[in-house]
Amino acid sequence: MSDTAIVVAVSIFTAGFTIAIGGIAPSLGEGKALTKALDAIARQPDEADRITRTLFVGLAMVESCAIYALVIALIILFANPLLKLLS
Amino acid sequence: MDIDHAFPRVVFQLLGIPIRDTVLVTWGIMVVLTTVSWLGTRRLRDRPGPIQNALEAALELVEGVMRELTPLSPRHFLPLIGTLAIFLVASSSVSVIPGIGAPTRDINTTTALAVVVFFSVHYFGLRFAGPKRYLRSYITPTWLLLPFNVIGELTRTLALAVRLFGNSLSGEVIAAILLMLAGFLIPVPMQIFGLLIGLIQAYVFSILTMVYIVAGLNGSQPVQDAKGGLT
Repeated sequence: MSDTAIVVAVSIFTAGFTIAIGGIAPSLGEGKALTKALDAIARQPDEADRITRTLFVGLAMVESCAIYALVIALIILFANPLLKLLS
Repeated sequence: MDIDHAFPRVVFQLLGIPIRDTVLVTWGIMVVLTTVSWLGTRRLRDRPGPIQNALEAALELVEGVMRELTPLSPRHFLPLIGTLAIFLVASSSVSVIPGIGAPTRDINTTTALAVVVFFSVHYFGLRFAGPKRYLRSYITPTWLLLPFNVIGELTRTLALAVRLFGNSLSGEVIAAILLMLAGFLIPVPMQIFGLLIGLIQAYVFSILTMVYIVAGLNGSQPVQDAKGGLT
């Protein structure tokens, strides 16, 4: 295999792996947070507005983890800096 | 249809500076929002017309959300937060028009917004909490946490920019991939989902800005001003 082929193959594999691993943990965490929020809303329906707002902010925080993985995967796929080293 | 269309592209050069299509769309949004606001507020009346009514409803919505977050009057922060919220809602809604992508899918746009947020946190902190109280927020609960507070200040700005950018760009990329697989009608539900994500991200961006500003105020309480009102 040529050098470019190796780099491209490893990049594709790594991009898929990045988003796979990076998706697992935040989705588990978000599911957990959502369950708790639903529990809390079922117990105190009056506080639903405040709980929902806090939930959204928290989910966005958790989700930024997955977004980092996504950005790195996109960089590997579409703007790979290592390919420039070869040419 | 190529997936490269999902990414921002350089449209033309202005005095040697490359202008991307996201900048053009941003200018368009600015023109539309300014024109609508100008038309709506040209003749303010007690019995508002349809445009003034819609503008007032939007502002009161933002103000109501802000009021629950801060003990101070939300009027101080309304210009910044309201502008951010309205601009982000507009820029995520504009992507449903075919051929136009959301300006927030360019990391330069979101970084610019995050830098504005970064400086306004310091501005509002110094203005309302005073230098002493504001600087003390960096050494609470102990001075050992000073480096972490400084790092946190920087990383949350980065996170603000990358979160908005990643969410918008992923929506566009998914739409482009679906468009390659199935040309007609299939991408529509994904577009609607992307619109929902965009609106949630606009909400989250504005709320986080407000939360950061309130954290920078370091628990300042409202004081009576000369007219006896709370500021």
